[in-house]
Amino acid sequence: MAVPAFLSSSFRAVRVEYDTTQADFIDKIRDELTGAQNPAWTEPSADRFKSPVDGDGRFFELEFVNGANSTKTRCNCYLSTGLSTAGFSRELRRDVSSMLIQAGQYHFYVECNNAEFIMAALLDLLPNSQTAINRNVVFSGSLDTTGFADTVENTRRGVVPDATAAAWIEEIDCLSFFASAPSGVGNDAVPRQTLTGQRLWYPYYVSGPEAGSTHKVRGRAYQMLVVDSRISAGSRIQVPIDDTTLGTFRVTTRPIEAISQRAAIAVRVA
Amino acid sequence: MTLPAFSSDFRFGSVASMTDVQDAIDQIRTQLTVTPPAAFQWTESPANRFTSPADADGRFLSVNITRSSATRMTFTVRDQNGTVIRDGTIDISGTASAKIWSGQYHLWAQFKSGATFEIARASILDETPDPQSAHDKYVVANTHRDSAGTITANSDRVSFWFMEDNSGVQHLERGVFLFNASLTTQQMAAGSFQNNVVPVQYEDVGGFAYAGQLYQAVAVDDSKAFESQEFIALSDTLSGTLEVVGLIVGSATATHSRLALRVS
Repeated sequence: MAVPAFLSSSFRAVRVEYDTTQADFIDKIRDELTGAQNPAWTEPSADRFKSPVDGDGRFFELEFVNGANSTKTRCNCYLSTGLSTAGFSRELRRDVSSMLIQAGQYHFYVECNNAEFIMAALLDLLPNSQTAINRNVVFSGSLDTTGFADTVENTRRGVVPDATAAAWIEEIDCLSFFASAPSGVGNDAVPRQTLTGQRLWYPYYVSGPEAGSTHKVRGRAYQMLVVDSRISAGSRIQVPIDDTTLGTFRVTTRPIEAISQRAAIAVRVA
Repeated sequence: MTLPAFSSDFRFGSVASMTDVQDAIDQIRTQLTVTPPAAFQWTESPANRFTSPADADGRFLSVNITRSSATRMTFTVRDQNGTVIRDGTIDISGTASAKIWSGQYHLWAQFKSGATFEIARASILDETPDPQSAHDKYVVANTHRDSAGTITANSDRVSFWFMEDNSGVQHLERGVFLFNASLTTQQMAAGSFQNNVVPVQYEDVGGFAYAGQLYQAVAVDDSKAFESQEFIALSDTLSGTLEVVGLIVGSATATHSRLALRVS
């Protein structure tokens, strides 16, 4: 079995220290994205970072600006069309001095040591062509633009392009697996572990609203998995990604919405 | 890599027209005990009790199949310990047809009278990612009717199976092909349909756990017509043709899924 496409992209994880200022916070992200990453990101304008363009012309951009107050950093995400999340921007509180940056050519996840985060990822559209739709990004972060958590940060939710990629929207059922639990099988609607206790994992399938109010799966976020939320945040789990290779993924601190939303997001570290 | 669930022996046969279920039983007997290679042949001993070939881990099931009347076939499934998992029947009415899917790990019989389907099914579960010897709750079964001929509620749904749980044999909704509650289809935004393996869950103390997946079966979108055939990628290197069986969607967990079985 070949490594699935959504786990074949570049990845790197690094914990860095910074002095809590906006400038240093962004400097450290810049150092990682444009300096350490391979392939490297670019910075087409100040504090706006562009992921490497893939063979199908796909990319996304992240712009870091001042947040609701001096302790917060705001992030705007851009589609390849230039469409900005302005209005649906997300923020995090950076008044701590350490953050974990997990990024690659198609994904970005930064988590400060106060558990606040900003994330974005392109979606692997297989088995469809990677150019089949341009609604191919998922974005989220801990806080809204007033500096408060508003549930969009929960694993179930996210910010995604609308049905025509004409605007971004806050999506309740962004997470394809693990949402509302049917009554028939309680809260374990989707199996989380085998009868012998082995934990199960799933691709981070992202869905969104499509024309006619239908709701469809768009694709899989690169280098991210959905895992059992009973696994402690910060844990590292090993997952076989082909016949001979284990990948290591770190369970993020991203909040779990309710008991029926038993999905944690894990991001590749090795 | 081909998943174990699609590596097992499989057979497909049919009876175009019958007014006596004996015709279907004859087809089942041939398909189980004559057609497969010797290593995958079921045995019939005593008469009418068919036992699947034990695999490398000693796993097998048995099914008693008898003609109760011209219009009724009994189908009694036992696990490796002799525990009855399902004792039931399926009927025909007037002139009917039959389709039989079988293999070393599975036996499905579908009767169709007019537009009405009645299905009897028995399967061992592929316990991947655990070893196949990880647990002994690997036999699942169902029939449209009970042993008295009364239709069993939900037995016509893809996700309902009889299985020996922690508290004994129960008929529960176990197959989960669910995505989130907003999804109204298994079609992706870009057009392709998602076809998923069919998981079966075991009810343990305090919740459900994944027991395994069906052999030679795939969950398909409920827009796919009964008896239509789909050419589906089953792994990086393997594709197969599967036919949609006459089971309706689940009541809670498989609300957009039908089920297709391998024919070639």
